[in-house]
Amino acid sequence: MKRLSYIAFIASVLLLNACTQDDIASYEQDARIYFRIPGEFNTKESRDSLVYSFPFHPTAVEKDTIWFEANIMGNAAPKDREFKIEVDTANTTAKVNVDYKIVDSIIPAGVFKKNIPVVIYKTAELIASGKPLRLQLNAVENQNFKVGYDRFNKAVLVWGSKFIKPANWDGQNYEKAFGSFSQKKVQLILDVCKITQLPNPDNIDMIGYYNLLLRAYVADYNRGKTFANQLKDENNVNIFIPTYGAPGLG
Amino acid sequence: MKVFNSIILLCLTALVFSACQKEIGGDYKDLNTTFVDTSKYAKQIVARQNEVYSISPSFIEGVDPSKLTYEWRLTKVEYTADPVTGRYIDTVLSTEQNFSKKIPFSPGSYVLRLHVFDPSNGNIAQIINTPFTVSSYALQGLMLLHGDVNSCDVSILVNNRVNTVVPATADSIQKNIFSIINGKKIEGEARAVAFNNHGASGARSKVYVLTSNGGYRTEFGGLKMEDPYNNLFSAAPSTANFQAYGTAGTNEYLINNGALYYQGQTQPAIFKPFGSQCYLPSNISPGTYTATPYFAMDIDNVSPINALMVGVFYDSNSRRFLYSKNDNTIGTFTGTAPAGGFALSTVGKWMVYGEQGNSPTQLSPYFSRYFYCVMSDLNFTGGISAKAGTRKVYISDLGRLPDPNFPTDVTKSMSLTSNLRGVAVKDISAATDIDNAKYFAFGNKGNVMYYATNDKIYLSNDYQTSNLYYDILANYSGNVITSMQVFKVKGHPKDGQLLYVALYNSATQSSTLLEIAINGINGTMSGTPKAYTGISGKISAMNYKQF
Repeated sequence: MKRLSYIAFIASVLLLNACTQDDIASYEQDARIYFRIPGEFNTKESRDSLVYSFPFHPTAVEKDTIWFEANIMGNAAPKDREFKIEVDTANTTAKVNVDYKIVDSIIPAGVFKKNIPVVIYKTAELIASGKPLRLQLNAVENQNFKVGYDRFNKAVLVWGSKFIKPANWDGQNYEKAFGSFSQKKVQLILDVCKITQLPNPDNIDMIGYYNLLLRAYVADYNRGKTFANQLKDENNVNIFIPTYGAPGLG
Repeated sequence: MKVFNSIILLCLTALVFSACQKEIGGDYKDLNTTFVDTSKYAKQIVARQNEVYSISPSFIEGVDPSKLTYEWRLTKVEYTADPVTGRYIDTVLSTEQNFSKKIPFSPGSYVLRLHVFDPSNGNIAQIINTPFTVSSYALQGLMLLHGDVNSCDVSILVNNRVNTVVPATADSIQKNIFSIINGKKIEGEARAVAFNNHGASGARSKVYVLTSNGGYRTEFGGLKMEDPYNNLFSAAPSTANFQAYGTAGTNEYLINNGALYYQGQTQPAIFKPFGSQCYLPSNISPGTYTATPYFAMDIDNVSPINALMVGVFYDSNSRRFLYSKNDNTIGTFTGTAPAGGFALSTVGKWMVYGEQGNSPTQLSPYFSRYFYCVMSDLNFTGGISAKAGTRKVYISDLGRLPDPNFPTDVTKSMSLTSNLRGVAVKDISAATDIDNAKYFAFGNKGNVMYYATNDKIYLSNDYQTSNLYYDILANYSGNVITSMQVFKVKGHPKDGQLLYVALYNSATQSSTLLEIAINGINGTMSGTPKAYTGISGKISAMNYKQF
């Protein structure tokens, strides 16, 4: 009988231990930070760099603010946390507090993502040179954050006082629809198509429509004029708009 | 201790003996999977879109239907997922014993799948698959766009002359379909109705209903509104003034306020919007044009030299014919005019009417495509207008023609842009009532030209003289003609053999449609016209609905 009591006791212990609550696994590693520049036409996608041309923003006379995302890995914290940004001087041509100013590098309490503003200035020097400036900001480890993904440990910002040629112009839909890049041509695209930004190059119906508008405009402009007097770009090269996407695109 | 050991031993012994008990097999029943009597079940079903379809299955003797459960599924017969939704259609329509449901699905081929389950026997099921065809709510036939200055509607003439699948007993007008489906009439005065066959097996076809207010592109099965007029364009025209619409193959033409729009609908799943108006290249002056609402699209764009061509229209601004290409540019005709003909580049006339018609040469590889245009001299008094007593028929051949420079080489076709295509000018100015003619219709089997005043129809077989063909005043007093059309549908058994005339009675504010059987070769009437009455308002446009 005494033996039965032992067995009953052991069985009870086993039963009580059978279904203990198991804690949900959580992110146990260090907090990390990474940067991301959302896609221009699809913000869910990421791009390598943010390219800003002042002529696309005629209301930004002296300065403007551009943004990139700082994202954290790990849990949101109950307090504000500063992350460390380091200017990659080897890959940067812009001068701090002259050409740009970083306003903020704080991840607020309770959030996983923060848009980080960078104020850029349209200086006389920028206008005179006509060359774009480049700023590369690297994420650097500090007491609050280690560096996250290698791919996203930097933010590259490029801006200029002229239209900057998009990296996806040559050989892609922009070139197919609008021909070779020039300052005057981009301005023509904006004026004729009554838009403020270059269109999404993946929207082929819209690109085709703009292509048709431009072809008709150039044909009208050149009508009755000698070749020498036809529409030219800033390099004195005749502006040519190819036919894009026939049949009937546009 | 002894008692304890005995209990343990007893339990173990029992477990050992029961561990490998011989399986003696289940107590199987001879289960029945036939509940519905398929011999009394439809082998094929045709239901009409947006109407309720009912079917009550019969059961074999001894089956209690109340103890069974049911599932009626409709599955689309298709080999790829819907390109828009990315899904296949497989929908449970009902779980009732007797099926009675509205069928909202687009016209096409489906399978109605009846699953009958027996819950008392592990849900064993009988499955019956039946081919199920959803036909258009708006039936195949001759569409009529009718109404007043404020609004209009679409009705369809359905008989076995125009609709080859309905029985001879079917002979009526399916009235006011647009307003029944959409709960309202089409805003504006009727101008054009057209069917656009699009997508695999026509599954994405559209019906265009176009009015002075613009109108709509509609789904072809039930004429459900899809796109208002402005949405047909990438950017709405600054002046919305619809004038003409046409389609040939994948090519679409639209004329709005004198501007020609072209779109090549090469993607089966979607419709690309019209972009900006077609334009003249910089080497052509003047660079502006005003398109008249008549154009030819059935042209030679097959031969390599003309592969980029889309259509030909008349520019009332510079009074010349122009052609358009599939890159949305417009070009001029060039070269010398043929003897007895005319130069398309320098017509200099007022265009009254244009329609493609009888094309006499159909011998491969030279298929002619005749474009008949009624033209007048101009009267410059008090603005530009057509001059009385000067009407002529200008006939151009836009088909595949041998290049006159290589008359013996059948591989060489003449460029569409040649003025040599202006093959003939026929002077019809002396024909009776020709100056009063408001409506025209050209046949396609022989030299057949009808023209009509308010109340008389004339027939010309030489485009110069005419005879009174039918007197509306004598036969339908109080009515005036509002529209006239030869039924021309390529490949249709009645192609070119029916003449439709719309009459309007202002006292009753309703229309009568006359169907006149004609000899396509010479245009003569066979029998007496058949009249369809009671169509509200004025019929201003007609066109064939293919399915």
